Amino acid sequence: MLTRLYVDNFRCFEKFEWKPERKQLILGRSGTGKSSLMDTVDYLARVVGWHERVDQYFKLNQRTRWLDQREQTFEMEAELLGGKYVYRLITGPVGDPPRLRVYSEELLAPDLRLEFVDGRLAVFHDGGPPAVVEAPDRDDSGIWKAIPKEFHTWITGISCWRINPTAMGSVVSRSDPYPQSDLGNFAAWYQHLVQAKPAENAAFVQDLRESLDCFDRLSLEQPVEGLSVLNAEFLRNGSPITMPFDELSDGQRCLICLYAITHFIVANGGTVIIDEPDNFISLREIQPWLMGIEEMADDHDGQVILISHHPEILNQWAGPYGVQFVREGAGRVEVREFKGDPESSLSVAELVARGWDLE
Amino acid sequence: MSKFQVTVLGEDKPHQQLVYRYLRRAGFAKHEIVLSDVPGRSGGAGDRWVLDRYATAVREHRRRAAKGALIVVLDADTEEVDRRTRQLDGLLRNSGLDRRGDGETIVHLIPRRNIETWILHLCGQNVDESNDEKRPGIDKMIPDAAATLFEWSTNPPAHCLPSLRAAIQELKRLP
Repeated sequence: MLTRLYVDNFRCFEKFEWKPERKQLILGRSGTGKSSLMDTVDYLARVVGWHERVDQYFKLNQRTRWLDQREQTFEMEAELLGGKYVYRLITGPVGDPPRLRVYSEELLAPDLRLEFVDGRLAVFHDGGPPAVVEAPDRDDSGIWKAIPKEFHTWITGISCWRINPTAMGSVVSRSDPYPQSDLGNFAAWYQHLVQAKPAENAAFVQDLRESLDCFDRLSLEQPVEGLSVLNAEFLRNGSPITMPFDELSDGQRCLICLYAITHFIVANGGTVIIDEPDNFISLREIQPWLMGIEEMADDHDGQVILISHHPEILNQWAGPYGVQFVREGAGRVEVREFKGDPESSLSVAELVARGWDLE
Repeated sequence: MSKFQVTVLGEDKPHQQLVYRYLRRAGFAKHEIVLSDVPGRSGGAGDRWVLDRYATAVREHRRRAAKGALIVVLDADTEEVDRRTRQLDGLLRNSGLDRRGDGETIVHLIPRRNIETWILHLCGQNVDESNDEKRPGIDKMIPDAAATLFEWSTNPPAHCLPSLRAAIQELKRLP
């Protein structure tokens, strides 16, 4: 699981350090970097895990406004079955006009150290002399080709979600094993999952039956060769009613996606960060889902990090799992353990709503 | 979806989690379980949190008693289980409410000394009800503890802690 993130000179992060737990709720007022944190994790996963260009995600104009500093530093630590991994990426401008490029990279892994500096990748094993593997391009991650499998599997498995039900359609031209962060391709992802994860799919559908009134199942029909349509089937007085997925309400689509993340990602021990999972769904639907994803994380060593302002989520998770992002003025962001007010009989949500949580 | 609901009023997350896991084992669906708010961190006042809310929870439960149950989980701490029971009775009296009746689906679970004592005991460790057994890592034992609680709920073993034996008797109030 992700155990530490350090960011310096990116958006509102100056010497910012965050240590997530297996379950964590991030609270904070607007502009305290909660969504930027999710972006940072997502971008690092794309650059290191998926070998995408660094300047596709990290932009020179997104260096911290009040710092006069060329270098940006990103560090990520993970505790995996094989041991501890520490990754460091330093980027900065190169050339005229300046472009953001990789200055250096390092990965400390059990029994292995990878170091990428000045376009040269050195691989250190067991304290012996380094093997220089190649001189990769500095537009992207240099350690990528020698990255240990366990770390690669974990980092490509990190998923950051900002669910947008309005982006989701029903028609699928081909299945897609890679869900988009807004789940705009849910139908295509689900078509893949039906084939790839039948056991998880059975549990997912069963959970939906308990969660959505009269829900029976999701089905994929093929009206013409090469095209599928994702439908939701409900039962009314024992008779089936079929609706294309994009005709469901925003709340229904969002709830289906939340249960999909629970059953297909967290149940496989993945690390998930969800920004405002409570958007669109009704108050009564939040707690059963929240308890379900917590149960799944506990049972399958998943990691669940939620970013939310919703009273129901605050009242359940802020006490045991909460951290606050706090920003003084327009300056740097700090992470503080949520302490609440032990003398108060007010709920956490009420304390936060009144601004008494930071006193 | 069933309209039946079991409301759980507990003083902290481990209390809530142990009962939630037990109820799931006992066949309750997620939507049949409602978890009351838990207090913010810097605990130590979790008992006050429950005591402040108990009378209101009972009043609301009685308005819907045919469709639900109320489970209250409150550490005995350094006192006896009976003292907590009398304390809860007193809260109803002070609020002008009737005492808890024998047939009511209001369940009092009162771990002594605290919920951690039960979790460790249910996981096979030697504990003493008069000692404070709180320590890091106990939360991870909750799923196993809840599974054992479910097993013991029909026939607790001879070595079952007295406060846990009383709680198992209380659980028989659930439908």
